[in-house]
Amino acid sequence: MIENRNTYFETDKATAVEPLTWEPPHAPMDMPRQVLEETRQSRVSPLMRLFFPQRA
Amino acid sequence: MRSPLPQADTKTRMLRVLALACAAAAAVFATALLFEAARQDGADFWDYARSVLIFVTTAWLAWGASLALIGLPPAGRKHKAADLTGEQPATAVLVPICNEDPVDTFARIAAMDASMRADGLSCDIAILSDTRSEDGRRAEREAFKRLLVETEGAGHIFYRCRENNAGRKAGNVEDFFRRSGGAYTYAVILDADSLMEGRTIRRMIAEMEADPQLGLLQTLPKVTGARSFFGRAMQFASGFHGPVFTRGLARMQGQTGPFWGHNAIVRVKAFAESCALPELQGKPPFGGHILSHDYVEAALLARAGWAVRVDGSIDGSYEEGPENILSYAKRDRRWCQGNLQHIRLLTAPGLRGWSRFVFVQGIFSYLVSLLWAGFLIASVAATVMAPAPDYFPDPYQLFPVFPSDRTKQITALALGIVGLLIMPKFAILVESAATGRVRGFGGVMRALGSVVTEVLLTSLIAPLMLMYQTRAVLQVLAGRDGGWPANARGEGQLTLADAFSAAWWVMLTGVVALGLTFWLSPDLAPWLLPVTVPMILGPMLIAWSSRRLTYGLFRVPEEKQTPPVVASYRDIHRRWTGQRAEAPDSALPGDAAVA
Repeated sequence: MIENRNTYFETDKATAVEPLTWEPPHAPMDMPRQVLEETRQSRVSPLMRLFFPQRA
Repeated sequence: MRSPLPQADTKTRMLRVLALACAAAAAVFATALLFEAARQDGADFWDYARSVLIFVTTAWLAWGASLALIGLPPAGRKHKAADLTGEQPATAVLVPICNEDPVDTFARIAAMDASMRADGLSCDIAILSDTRSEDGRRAEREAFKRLLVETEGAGHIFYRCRENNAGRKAGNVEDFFRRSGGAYTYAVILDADSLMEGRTIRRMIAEMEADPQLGLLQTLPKVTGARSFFGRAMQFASGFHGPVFTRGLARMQGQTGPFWGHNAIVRVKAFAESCALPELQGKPPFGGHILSHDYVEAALLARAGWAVRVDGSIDGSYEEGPENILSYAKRDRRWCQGNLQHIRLLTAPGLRGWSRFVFVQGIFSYLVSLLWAGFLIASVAATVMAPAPDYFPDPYQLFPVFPSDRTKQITALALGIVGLLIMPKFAILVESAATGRVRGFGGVMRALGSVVTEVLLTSLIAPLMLMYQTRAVLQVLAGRDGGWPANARGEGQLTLADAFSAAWWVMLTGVVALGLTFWLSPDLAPWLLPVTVPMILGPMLIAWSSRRLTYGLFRVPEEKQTPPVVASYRDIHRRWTGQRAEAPDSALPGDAAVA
């Protein structure tokens, strides 16, 4: 089960200092930035790319 | 790297060809009628211009109509709804918010949490705030404490507020995946005004489990809670016409379906590996963050080999809609900028052909207003600049030659265009009567009344929307960034003064256009009345249609039997705000007036 990282409930409610977050579990995941525009080095004409996507 | 999605099957391809052929045939027919009438006094530049414009705009209308016609046949029984057996995969329900009323949003979350528990689901819920003001954040924190206490949600309901709202909603969701995505197999992405039944989420998870290639499953959210005349008309249209259009869309798009940004489930791995959006080079409106991120995410999933499907048959998915024309136009301004930004992405590497076509459709859905405006201007110009008729072209002829009357062709053209607009709606009425669906909308006669009224209302406000969309397109093309204003939710009743201050320029344009046409070409003026009169009455229409509807038009099934999660949300909201219980929704609005 996912670890409870809810700081509000980890502290004494009566004396709790306002926490900034009640954060979701820490389980990082890689998210590679996608390429939607050609860089100058790999510029292929848009028309060529439309008809021959495998060459882009 | 995943293997690419297979090409669309033969049936899907045939439907696409059929729709394109219908659109092309209607466009050719309309152009032929217009050009035949226009060339009687000799074809000039304006005649060619309006012929091109009528070709494109008619093709667009016919394309929309063919979408409805393709969706008319009911779904076959081939696809059996999946059910969840065995252990439930870890699932997070994501609620990105930005400057929303936290009581409204968190009451919805409490209702969904109860519904999921009742259906035996154990999902985490993450409220992902991008609210900037300290007051807004404080209100969210207070509401969150109450939510946790009421739902005993500690450990499975989370709240976090980003310090930096880079990438807006898409960036907000991406931030969650980067920090917490590894803990989940699926994520249900919602909007602040979304509501979903627990059994709906259960079915969505089951559908994802049943098809390992499915990266995203989109539901058709039904609009609920509308009170105003305009809001209820939109609610009726979404509930009555929406399922048929969505079925048509699903049949035509196949595995390269749409994502509408919310009320959908994604496979976290698929989304994470293919949907981190880049910032486009240059400044807004065409550069910077991608505004209409959902279309792009759907295209990127398909590019990475994941299927994207829309399934309108999954019920129990709800949202709220704009309550007046100005809120609608404000949202439309943002969508317009987002869709036009896709011009930059048409040639993005590796996209599926259909994804590019979807971008073109989105772009065109806004450009078409500009083209209609151009057509009207070209028609006036062509008439004004037409040479005087030559009754004696032959110097030795005895009797005058009168130019042949082409009123019939122009009338046929006008009727054809109106037919393309309203025919699908009446075809859907017949479909709903044949399948029994009409019962939920108050029976055939009441549904007929609602369809006719909705057609009249949309015809009246069409010139207003044409003006707002034309302005939006011109603003974007001129490089003006509209930003990302928060959605206006709630009742939204407008005074005449509010409406006038937002639409005086539409009114003025209508007066000037009608006056000029009367002065330059009195014969043409009556043809323009359906456009200019609603423009002149614009502020009155806007204010009047924002008033609460007090009679039984636009009945939808959710009023006859309030969905459990909607009823639960209203109960919780009343309790939290200390409001007295209103009449049940089945009596709202205006049943007393009907009875």
